[in-house]
Amino acid sequence: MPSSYENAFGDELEAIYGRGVHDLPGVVAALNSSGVRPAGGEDWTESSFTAELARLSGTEK
Amino acid sequence: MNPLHSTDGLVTFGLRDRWYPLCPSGHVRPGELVRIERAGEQLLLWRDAAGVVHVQEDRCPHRAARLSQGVHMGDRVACNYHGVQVDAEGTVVSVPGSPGCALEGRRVLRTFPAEEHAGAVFAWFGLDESAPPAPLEVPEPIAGGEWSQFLCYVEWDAPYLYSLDNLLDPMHGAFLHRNSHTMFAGKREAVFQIRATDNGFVFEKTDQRGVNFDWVELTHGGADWVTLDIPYPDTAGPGGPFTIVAGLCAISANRHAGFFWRCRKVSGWERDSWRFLYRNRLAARHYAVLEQDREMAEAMPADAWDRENLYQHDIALVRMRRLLKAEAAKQAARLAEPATAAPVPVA
Repeated sequence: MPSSYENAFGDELEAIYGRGVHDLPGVVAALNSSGVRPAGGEDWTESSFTAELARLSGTEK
Repeated sequence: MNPLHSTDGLVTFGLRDRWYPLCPSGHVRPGELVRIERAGEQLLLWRDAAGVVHVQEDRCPHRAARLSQGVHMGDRVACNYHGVQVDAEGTVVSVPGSPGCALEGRRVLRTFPAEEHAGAVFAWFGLDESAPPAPLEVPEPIAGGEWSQFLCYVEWDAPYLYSLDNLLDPMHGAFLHRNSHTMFAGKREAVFQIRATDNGFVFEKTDQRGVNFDWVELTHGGADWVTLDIPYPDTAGPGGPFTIVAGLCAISANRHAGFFWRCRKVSGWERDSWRFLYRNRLAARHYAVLEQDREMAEAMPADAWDRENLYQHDIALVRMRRLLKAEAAKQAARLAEPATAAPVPVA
C-alpha cells in the first residue's frame, strides 16, 4: 500500500502535470508552492526531486 | 484425432511454428513444478538449479502420470508414481524400479525450447518438433534500451481470438472506453486503411492520429504481436503516449492468457516519474479499462463469428482471420502427410 506521503506526492504531480507543466524547473517550482515537502521540510531542488523520484520508482539502487 | 492436427484446432489453440508467451516469469518459482495448459498442450514448467526455465509435456514417458505431481531434483524431475527421472532435455536418466531397462537414456519426453524475456516465459511450439526454433524476436518497446515497461498479465474466460479481434478493432476505444482516463477523446466516426508491412500489417485511421486508439500493428512471424499507441492525458507527465505490446496464448478453447506490456519511451527523471505514477495511479486505471474489454469478451456468444455483419472498421479482423486460417490449413495439410521416418519401437 502506498503511504499517505506517496499519495500526496502523486496528487501534486498529477495536478502540476495536468496544468501542462512538464519541464523539470517548472515542476520543481510548482511543487514548492504546494504543501508537499521532503521529509526534512525544506524546499525541493531539481536534485532532491529527481532523487526522490528515483527512490519512489525503485530505480535507486 | 488430435485437435492440433486440424485447421480448426490450429485456429482455436494457436498455430505451430510460433513462440507463445506462457506465463509471467514469477509464476515459476525455484524448486517448484508448475502445471499449466497453453496452446492445446499440457505443460510442466520448472527451473533447474541455475534458474533456467524448462518447458516440457506434463506426462511421464512411462505411464503418463503427471510429472507436475513429482519431485524437483535440481537438474531433473522424478515422477511420483514409479520414480522415473527425466532431465531438462527430455531424456530418461533413471528408472529406479528397473535399472538398465531400455527406457533409460532415451530422449522421450516432449520438450519445448523456452526463453524468458520482459518478465515472461516463452516457449516454441514447432510443427516439426525435431527442428530448431526460429529466433524469438520481440518488438522494440520490450527489447530493452530506451523504453521502460510494465507487464500486465490476465487470464480471461474467452477464446484468445476474441482478444485478438478486440486489439485489431481500434474504434471500440471511442465507445467502450469513452469514460476512461486515456480514451475520452477522438471522433466516433473514422475511415481506416490497411498498410502491409514486411511481416504483417498496420491498420490505421486516415483522418486522425494521436487522439484515441488510432492505429494497430499486427506482426505475424516467429511470434504474433499486436502493438498500438494510446495517448496519455497531461496528468501522466512528460513522455508522450504509451504503447501496448500484446501477446496472447490459448489456455483452452474458451480461455486464454493475455500479456499486455505497457511501455513508454522515457528516460531519466521522466522515466522515474512515469514508473512512480504507474505504480501509484496509472496501473489501477489501466486495469479498469482492461476490465471493460474483459467483460465484453467474456460475455460474447460462443458462435460470435458465425453471425456477424462486418463493416469497414472490421477489415483488419477479416485480414487477420484470413491469414490465420490460411496458415492453419497449410500446417494441417503438412501434419497429414505420411511420416517419413519409421516409428521408434517400444522397448
